[in-house]
Amino acid sequence: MWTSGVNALWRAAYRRAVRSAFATVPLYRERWALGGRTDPVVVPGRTGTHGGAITAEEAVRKVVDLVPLAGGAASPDPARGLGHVLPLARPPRPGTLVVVVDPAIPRPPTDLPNTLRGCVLDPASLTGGTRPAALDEVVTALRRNGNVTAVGPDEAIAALVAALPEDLAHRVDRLPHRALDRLDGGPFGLIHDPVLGYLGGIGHCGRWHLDWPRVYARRTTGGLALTLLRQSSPRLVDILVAGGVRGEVAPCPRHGTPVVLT
Amino acid sequence: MSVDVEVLDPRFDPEPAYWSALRERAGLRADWAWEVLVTQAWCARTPQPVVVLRDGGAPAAVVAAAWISTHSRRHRFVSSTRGGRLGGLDVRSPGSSAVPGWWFADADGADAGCGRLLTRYVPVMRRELGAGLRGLLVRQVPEAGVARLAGRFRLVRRTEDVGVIDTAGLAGTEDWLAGLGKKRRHNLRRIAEAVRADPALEVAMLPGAEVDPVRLAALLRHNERKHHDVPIVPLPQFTGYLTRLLRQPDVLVLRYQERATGRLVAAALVLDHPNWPVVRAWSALPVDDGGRADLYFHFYGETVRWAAESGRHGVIMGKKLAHLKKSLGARLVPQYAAAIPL
Repeated sequence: MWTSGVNALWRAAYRRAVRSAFATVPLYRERWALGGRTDPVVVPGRTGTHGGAITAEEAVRKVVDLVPLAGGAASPDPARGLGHVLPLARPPRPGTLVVVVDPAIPRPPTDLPNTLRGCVLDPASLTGGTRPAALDEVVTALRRNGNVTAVGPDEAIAALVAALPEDLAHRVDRLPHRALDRLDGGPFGLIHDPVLGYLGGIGHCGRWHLDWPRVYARRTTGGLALTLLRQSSPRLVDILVAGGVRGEVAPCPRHGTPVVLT
Repeated sequence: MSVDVEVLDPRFDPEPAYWSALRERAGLRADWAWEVLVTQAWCARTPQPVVVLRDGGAPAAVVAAAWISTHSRRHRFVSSTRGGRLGGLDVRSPGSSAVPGWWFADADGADAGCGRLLTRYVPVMRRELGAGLRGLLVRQVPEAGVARLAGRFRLVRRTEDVGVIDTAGLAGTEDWLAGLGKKRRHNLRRIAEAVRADPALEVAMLPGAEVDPVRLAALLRHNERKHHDVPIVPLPQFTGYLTRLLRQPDVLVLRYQERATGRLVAAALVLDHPNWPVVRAWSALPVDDGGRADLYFHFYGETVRWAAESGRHGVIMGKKLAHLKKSLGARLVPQYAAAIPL
């Protein structure tokens, strides 16, 4: 399945994203035309550094040039993709309240399915004098036997749990963030990057699956370069996250879809 | 007398050996530097042919244009080498809408080189592009060239005037202020005093190389968003383009920066010239986003002071806001555009 199906579709989507970025996005146009890139090469004879990939820091710094000529959003959404990776990592039941506890995510996710409700909670507000309204909602949901999934860094989730009444704390489902260079053995977790958003999660098989219909990864000399296949603006193509992570992309022996091995 | 021709595409052609000498001789500003042209050509919607006519081996004329064809798209960079078979040439300066896009060594004041565009440039491009070349749009035509370009089935229209402030003979800003209306003069003095008294704001005219092109690009977007009132919205100045432009030795930036945070509050980009520098762009943060009011007026005073002290004949302030520019001491130079079917 990997070689004949998913891989072919995946690569075709990536090549379309590269062609479109070269034709419409100023940063890639300038970078790949003058410096070059690989896989695919867009200007014969020019292969560039790191296969044309750029660091996430540079992408953020030059974000005005990641907006295509037709216009669009000029700031990355760190909550992007959560709705798509949740079913992969910890399928939520209908009606679940998804609480994003990460100081780097100021706005709630926009791509949650209609059956879920999402909110953000700044962990710093849990220790302040005023009790945040979202925390009351979490307590209310748990008292009504509802489901709550907490998503964020370990310490932020721990702060949320510590702020809950003792009899309810154990009922929160935890989905910790993991950076690409800090992937562990699970059993639950989401691959998250502050610039690209949610990239994948641990599947039932215990492997770190990519959200492959929306995220492409390839090896470059600078590390794994990630591409958001469906985000129109800011266009993020071949981004070296976490300073450039050595690793590879391989098919999952159980599912046949791409997993990350670092 | 032998005449030969080079039709260059900066995307693919290396910098000609004579290019720096040609730029200097023709008085072409930094937007004509080859590495700047290369970046601009790649990040353009259309091919940008640069034609050099040589006379007896030495470059004697240069013309920059955009080849706008049926392949051109508003939201896409040029997608092929040729860029379509049917279209027209838009003759204009590569980086400024205030100066012409051609130079002829033997041009006289009678038609400002417009006649030579028709007799020498058009045949070259006809040979290069074939029968698909159906029209010529010549912009920044001075008054002297109008009669030469006018004719049957040709459309010549006056466009926005260009504001020029003459600084020859000025000892400084006081001389310039003396020539302005009383209210304007009083207002400018008040603004200058307010900026001088603002300890948080640092104002300096700097070589372009000392300015961060990425932050400047972000700042310039504020102003570029205001000028979407034209049929073909110009592309913004991208970071790659500004990186190469700012490192040219003849580019200056009037920078308004917050001392404490280093945040760029406003900036003017000046393409220097021994006699007639051009203000290429101005932009300021909106007041709601932490910008300062009235810096646009302050920038006029600073630019005039710099031009007067450095012995320039004057400063070309560009198009738009003609009445305001006039009230700030600029003379308005009429500009025309000519559409010529071929």
